[in-house]
Amino acid sequence: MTSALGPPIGIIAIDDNKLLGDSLERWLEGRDGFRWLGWAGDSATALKLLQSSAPDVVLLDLEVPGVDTLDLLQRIREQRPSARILILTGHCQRDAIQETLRLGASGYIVKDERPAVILDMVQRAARGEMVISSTAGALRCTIPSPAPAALRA
Amino acid sequence: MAGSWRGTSELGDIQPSGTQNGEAAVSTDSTAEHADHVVLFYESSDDFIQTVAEFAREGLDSGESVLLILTREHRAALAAAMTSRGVDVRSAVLASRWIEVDASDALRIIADGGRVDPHRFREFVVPLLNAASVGSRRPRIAAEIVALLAAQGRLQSALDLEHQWELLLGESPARLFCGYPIECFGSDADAELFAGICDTHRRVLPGASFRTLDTADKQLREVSNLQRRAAALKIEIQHRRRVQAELDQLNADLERRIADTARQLDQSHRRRFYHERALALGALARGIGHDLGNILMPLRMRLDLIESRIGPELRDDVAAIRDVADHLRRLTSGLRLLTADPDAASAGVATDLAEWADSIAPLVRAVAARNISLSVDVAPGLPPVAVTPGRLAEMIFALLHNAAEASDKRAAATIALRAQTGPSPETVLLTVSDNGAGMSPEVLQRCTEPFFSTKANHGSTGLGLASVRSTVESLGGNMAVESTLGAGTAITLRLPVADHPQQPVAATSRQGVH
Repeated sequence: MTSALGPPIGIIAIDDNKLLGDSLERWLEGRDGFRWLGWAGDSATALKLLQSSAPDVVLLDLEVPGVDTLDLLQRIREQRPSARILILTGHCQRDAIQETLRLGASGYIVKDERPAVILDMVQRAARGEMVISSTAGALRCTIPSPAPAALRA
Repeated sequence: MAGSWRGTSELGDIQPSGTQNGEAAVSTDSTAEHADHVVLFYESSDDFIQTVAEFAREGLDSGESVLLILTREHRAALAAAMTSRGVDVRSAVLASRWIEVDASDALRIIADGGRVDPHRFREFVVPLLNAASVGSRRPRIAAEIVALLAAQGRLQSALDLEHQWELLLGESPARLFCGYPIECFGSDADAELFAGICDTHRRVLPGASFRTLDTADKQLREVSNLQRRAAALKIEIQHRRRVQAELDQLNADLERRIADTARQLDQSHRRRFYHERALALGALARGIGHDLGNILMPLRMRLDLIESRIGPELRDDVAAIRDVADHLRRLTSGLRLLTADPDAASAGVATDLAEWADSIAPLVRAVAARNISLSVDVAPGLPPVAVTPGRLAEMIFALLHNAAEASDKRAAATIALRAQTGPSPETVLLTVSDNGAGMSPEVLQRCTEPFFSTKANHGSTGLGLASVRSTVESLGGNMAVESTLGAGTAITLRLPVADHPQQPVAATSRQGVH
């Protein structure tokens, strides 16, 4: 699953922006190496989707209605420890980046990246890399120890 | 009180004539044809009244008449004092040997605007003297018009009136008794006039405190004592003046400090206001940046889909839309830099100036009016600087904003942002220059003071350059301002190079991304 030559990477997105979910679905349609598993606009739907779809990568917005995103992140990790969680957000704040990485996210992607770059980051995350958008990388965040990647190893 | 009025002694005018039962007594010259002009500086009204009563009683006893020019209160008190001496004032009045005139009325008649008119004085007093004379004997006179003038602070007028009396006594001998409350001479400045008033009198009667000095030895001791007290008072006065001067100085310091504190408080309030406004604008810009990001991602994905399914005739149109999206993306990125938390720790920060300049370029264009030509030039191979991108953006935008304002409405206006190697390998220079209005030497001198602004009425806070200087200095750099009035301004930030550049955590390279 984590190899480029392996089975396609199953992806779900948790974001209240339906336009984004639809666009991701349309964009991933027919692309080799990826499998679109669905989109959830709130926390309850997200947990159900997580249960039913068993994704490899979860794209998680920082502002999901009705829930503290950090709590949701931890619940996703508990419910689906093997899934790579990538924060996909319009915000770019050092504190948010550090906190989500500390809680086990595998990366932090800012939404204004080009789609091809986002896809590349998803693939690298699925291989076990930790990925951060260049905009966010400029903030020189440090990953608290122990590194989430090590926890999942 | 008992005693008689006598002539002078070897000690001069002050002449104690002995005491009885602790009471003092003074006397006047008893020669009927002899003029006398005496004065008493009294410590209490009672002392004055008792002395006048004795003076009047002696006059009546010796067949003279008495002219009293006193205040209403003193005349009433004198009547009581005469009664207690067993003197029948009523009979004296009926015999025209006791004549009373109100001193306040007299003053109104003889003075004009506080100054004594000699002519009016004579017109007023001479008929009274004639009416009170018994045969050729002139009356005894007790008068305190001078005291009223002195009480009003008109010591010079009092002295003038004393001279008028003296002239009159020279022409027509009589005995005149004047009295002043001693407190009328409470100031150092009165010393000369006091001496003048003493000199116009032939004798100065001792006040109640000095009537027990019945021997020359006692008098000399008292004079020595007074000299010592005068010297002590002089020292005390000097000391108090010194203390007063110190107090004045302290007061002035205090007032200055209060004014400084008030000014600082005012500046603090203004800083807070602008800080809160900046926070609100920051939140707004962050929100816009966030929403733009949310829009851009689906937009780009749909563009990819469209591009993959259309013919070559529409590819240019899609490419144009993609350019717009890219511009929006860079604008979003610039907004993020501007709204980054300025308090975020900058330890270990290493900002690549070329990347940074690229990300803020769309915003740079937005700062200045379209007629201003803008250029951004980053020298190749510059080391990263130890300043967060957000801080850097915050400072440069303040400088660009100033440059744009200085260049507005000028023909061929240009603003340049240039990054180059500093004078030493540890620094990089970032310069914002313009060919705008420039600054006078006076404005240049003050341009980095907080709240100093030449555009205070046009929305400028006056915090821009002060804030930039404060920020760059807190980062270990400095700021240099060069300006020529009418020719333009160049402001250079000397920024520290990152000592130990840290690699970002698995950061995606920007190479080829745009």
